[in-house]
Order: sequence, then structure tokens, then C-alpha cells
Amino acid sequence: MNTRLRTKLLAWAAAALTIVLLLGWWQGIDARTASFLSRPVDVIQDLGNWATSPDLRADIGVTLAEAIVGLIVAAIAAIVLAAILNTSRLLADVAEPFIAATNSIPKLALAPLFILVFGIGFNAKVNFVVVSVFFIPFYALFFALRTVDPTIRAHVRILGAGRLHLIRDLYIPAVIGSLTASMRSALAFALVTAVIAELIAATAGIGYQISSAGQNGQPARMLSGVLVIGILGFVLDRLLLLVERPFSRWRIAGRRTT
Amino acid sequence: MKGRRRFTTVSLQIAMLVVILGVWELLTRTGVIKPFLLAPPSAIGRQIIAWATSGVLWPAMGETLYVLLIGYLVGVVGGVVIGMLTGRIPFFRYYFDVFIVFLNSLPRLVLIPFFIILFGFGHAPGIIVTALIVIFIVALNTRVAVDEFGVDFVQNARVLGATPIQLLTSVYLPGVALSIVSSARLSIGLGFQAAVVAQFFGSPAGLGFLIAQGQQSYNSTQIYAGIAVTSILAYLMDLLLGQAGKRAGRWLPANA
Repeated sequence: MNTRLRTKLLAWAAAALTIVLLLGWWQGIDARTASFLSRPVDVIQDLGNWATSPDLRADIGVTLAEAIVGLIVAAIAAIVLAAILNTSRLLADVAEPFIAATNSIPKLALAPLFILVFGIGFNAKVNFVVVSVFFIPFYALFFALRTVDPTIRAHVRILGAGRLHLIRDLYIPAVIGSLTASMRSALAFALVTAVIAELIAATAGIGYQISSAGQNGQPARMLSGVLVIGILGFVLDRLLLLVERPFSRWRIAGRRTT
Repeated sequence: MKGRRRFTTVSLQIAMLVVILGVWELLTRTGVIKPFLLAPPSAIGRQIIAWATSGVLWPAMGETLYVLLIGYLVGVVGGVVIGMLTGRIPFFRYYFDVFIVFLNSLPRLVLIPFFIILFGFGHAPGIIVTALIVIFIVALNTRVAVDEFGVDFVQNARVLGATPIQLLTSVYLPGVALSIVSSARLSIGLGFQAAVVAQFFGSPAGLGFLIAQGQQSYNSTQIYAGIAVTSILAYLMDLLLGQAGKRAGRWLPANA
């Protein structure tokens, strides 16, 4: 125990030293290299300027709105379609290869299509996020519903459960864990898709800031944009983890009793 | 009874495919849906055939697969080294975890424009981003392979008198190879997507370039054809790797 703690502290110290050395080396590069790599201090300074101007809040707002609106629409569509397809075993069997084929489309490759068809505004991004993210909760739900034990279903029905009871006491408990778990990866992906679409063509948002900084030769702004997305993704992930935890704990507890 | 059910399913699937393609063709042909929004399947097919016969398609595919292959190899080598170190040596585990936690929460695709500024419009940005995505998946799987999965095998091999070198060659490396094959489906799928996306941004060639070119020239048929080729390629790779993964794990005991 004691040696483990010592190794841990030693490793963290080494990691901190590595980071400091890297940043120091980066800060010390010559002016020509710095013109397209920028320096750590430049990035921090740019982030400060950006944060004190009203732009940063607006850009975060645009990107977050695209990702979250897209995610919510995708989740609702996924719930509806998964429920419809699972009303009949045959329907689900027939649909499965089509779903698998559609799912194997590399979603991010669709970004130029959405920009061409829906323009460079907010709508194009939301539509793109919806289509890209849809399969994550849909797949989770589709398979969670398929694995509901027919025996348990039969038992519940014999005990006199109507359709509403079945949904409330069997289907929702069966899928809620995988739904919330899938929402975590869906959120991360929604953020990436929104930013990728903004990188290709946009008028606002963090991705737009990164791509326009690239065109104007402002590497510091590009890197602070990347940093903002990283922080945003991290914070959102932690928030969703807080929401998810009670559900997954409940699911494991439920498994143990059966 | 079971065969009959399967027959019904398959014939319904074929019917559904024909109906979807037919309705799609009909709606776009008659102009109910503008062909600009949704290109008819026949036009997409013609575009792909035109590419294939004019010698555009194969070099574009080759270009994307080249970026994927090099990026994947770099990612696998780096991932195995990091995974072995973190799996066997506690110091490296804590050391690399600091970087992994930080880098893993960062969507690496966002770095593409920055890498283009640094390395120009060649293969490098795509290769680096692909490698950065693959490396974490491989490192994580390798760590699990040499750490948790290996425990029983390592103890058995030690009891049988294996030397450290024998342990490496007959326990760790096969375990690592297995973990690479079984994670290949995920890492190559994501790597392929990264390679294509990198080609959206000012690359002069590749499948991503064909798609981006369609967008810039307002030619939606070209975009659809590009997406179709990309998807078919992705699907075939996934199918192949899925089979490989199943084969590779066959010798394992069921509870490993």
C-alpha cells in the first residue's frame, strides 16, 4: 500500500515534469515556428481575450445548441422507431440488416451533404447531428428491447398486466439503463459532429472560430478553440455521468435480485 | 418451422430492398423529391461506374486506404508499447493515465485544421489523426490483455517453468495480438472515418476529397456516390474484421 502510493506520487511528479518541460520547450521555439504553432502563453492570452469578449459565450451557445437540440431529437426518434420495430418479432428481423447497413455508413462523411442540402446555418448542423447520433441510442434500445425475456413478459401478462403496465413495469425498466448509458457516448459524438460541420462551413460556433482562425493565420485561436471543445466535452460528460449513475446502479441492483 | 421463418424473413427483406429502391427512384425521377436533395439510385450507380471506368475511383480509394493503413500501423505500434508498459509496470500506468485522461476527452478530429497548418495538405494530417484515434483503443485493449486477461495464463505458464522470454512470446504477445484483432473492428472503423474526414479539408485526393468536391461544385449526385463507396468499403471492412475477430478468439476457453 505504501509503495503503491509512492509509485503513484512519483509517476504524477514525472508526468507533471514532462508537461512542464514540454510547455517550456514549446514556449522557447523561434519566432518563425511560433507564427504557425503559436506559444503556450499566446494560447492562454487568446483564451483570456476570447473569454472576456461576448464572443466566447455566443460561440459556445451556438455549438451547444446544435449538439443538444440534435441529440434530443435523435433520442426521441430512436425511442419511437425502436418501439415500433419491436412490436413484432418479424418486423424487427426484417429490419435488422437494413439498420446494420445504415449504421455502417461513416456518419461524419455525410457532413458535406448536409451543408449542400440545408445550407451553412443552424438547421444544417442540427439535421446532421440528428442523423449522425440517432443510431447510438437507437441500437441500444433496439437490442435492449429484443432481449426482454419472453418468459417474463408472459408471466407479467398472465398476472393481468395491460399494455400500459407492460410498458411501465417491464419495457421501461428493461431499457432505461442502456438508454442513459448510450446517451453519454451520443452526447460526445453530437459535440464532435456539430464541430466538424462547423469546420466545413458555418457562420458561428467554436468550429467556425477554429476554421476561420486557420484561414487568418491565428494558430493561438485555433488551439484555444480546441481547448474549449475539450473542456466542454469533459464537463458535459461529467454532468451526464451524474444523471446516469442512479439508473445504472438501480439496474445492477435489479439484476442481482432476479 | 425455423427454416420457413427464415425464408419468410429473407424474402421480405429482399422485397423491402426492392420497394425502397423503387420508391426512391420513382420519387426522385418524377420530381416529387428534388434530385438535388436526394439523387436517384440509378444516377448514383452511373456516377460510381463512371468513376470506376475513368480511373478516378481506385486511386481515390487507394489514397484513403493508404492514410488509414499508415495511421493504423503507427497507432498499433504506439498503442502496444503504451499498453504493455501500463499493463505491466505500475509507474507507467499512473504516468500515462495523466495524459490518456486528458487526451481522450478531446475530440481529436478537431485537431485536423491545426495539423494542416503545421504539416500542409499532404497525407500527414490524416495519418496523425488516425493514429491518435487508434493508439488509445489499442493501448487500452493491450493493457487489459497483459494485465487482467493474462493472470491465469501467466500463473499456469510459471508453474510449468516458463522463462520470462517464453512468457513474453507464448503468453503476452499472443494475448496482445488477440486484443488487437478483436479491437480492430472498432479502431479501423473509427480510423477510416478519421481518414475520410481529414480529406474534406483541402486534401487533393481521396474519397473524402471526392465528397468535398461534390459539395463545392453543388453536385449532390457526386456526394451520394462518394458516400456510397465509402459506406460499402466500411461495411466490407467491418464484415471481414468481424469474422477475423471471431476466428481469433476461437481457441480461448469460454470463460476467459
